[in-house]
Amino acid sequence: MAKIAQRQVLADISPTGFGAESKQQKNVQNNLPKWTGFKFAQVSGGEITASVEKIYEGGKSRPTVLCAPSEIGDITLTAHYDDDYVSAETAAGIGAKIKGLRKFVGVAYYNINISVYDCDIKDPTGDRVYPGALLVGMTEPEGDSSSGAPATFALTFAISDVENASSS
Amino acid sequence: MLSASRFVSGVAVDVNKVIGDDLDENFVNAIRVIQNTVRIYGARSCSLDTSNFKYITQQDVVNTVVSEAYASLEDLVFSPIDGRNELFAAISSRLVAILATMRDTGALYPAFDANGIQLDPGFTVKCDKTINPATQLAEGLIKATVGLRVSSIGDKIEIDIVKSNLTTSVV
Repeated sequence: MAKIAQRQVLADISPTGFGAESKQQKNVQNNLPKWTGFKFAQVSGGEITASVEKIYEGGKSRPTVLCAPSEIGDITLTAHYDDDYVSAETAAGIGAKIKGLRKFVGVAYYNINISVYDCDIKDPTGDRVYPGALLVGMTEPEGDSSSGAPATFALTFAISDVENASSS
Repeated sequence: MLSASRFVSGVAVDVNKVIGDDLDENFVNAIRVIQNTVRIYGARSCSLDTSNFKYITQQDVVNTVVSEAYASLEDLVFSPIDGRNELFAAISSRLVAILATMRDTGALYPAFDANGIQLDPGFTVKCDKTINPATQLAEGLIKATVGLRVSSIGDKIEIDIVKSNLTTSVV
């Protein structure tokens, strides 16, 4: 039962060609930038919430809580930008990948894989997989002439479902 | 000569229940009129392994896993086999994404115990050092195993109807 640091939780993505929605647009899915081997620096979101209704029956001081469907919040993946415009299926060419993704916001389906690494950032254990996540937002690298901080970009995904990667 | 029909209006030979059941037993799919609709009544496979592949749909599920795994893992071919096990995790996650989607659509059958606790999600995925020794990796071969429980097809519905009279309890 070892505690882990946030830096041990890493995310990667891959285009999905499977699923009712993504099968309808094979032409899109086949042309999405690949991110094989690329690890995002930050992952946030994915909270699971349910908007339940409370009923106060007459004469009762406490409410009855009705069950309700749960949904998974958007996941935002952030990484450091580089201006490598060489088109590649590997982790290289971030500039080219961002350029290629701009026209696919709102239509691109990816699988998001979240893994937990050991302290040496190796031997990943699959934690959870979000199959068929839809790209709904892209934050471009921001500029600030008085800052030396690294420029970052972010991809935001709407989530349909989550699966335990360690179910095997 | 090939033709394509968008609809059918009837059958040339009306296959009744007796003949249809006999054909079904002998792996023939009869096109029958059932309650005024034309239906392909069952999609039997020719497999003698009826507990696993009685209907062609079950083989289709397995075939789908194979073809989708080919497509999804193609990106990873020629990836370096790293000593940090990154490649194993990438393979596993892609397979889980395929199988979880199939499970959600009902193609796979999760198992639950008597208390409703899920025993398994209907599939297993394994890709780690235990099935990938260094001698095998040195030859460039990476292995993964997928186990899946394909949902069966309900082809019979049996109802016991017991009539009671006024002086006896209802069963």
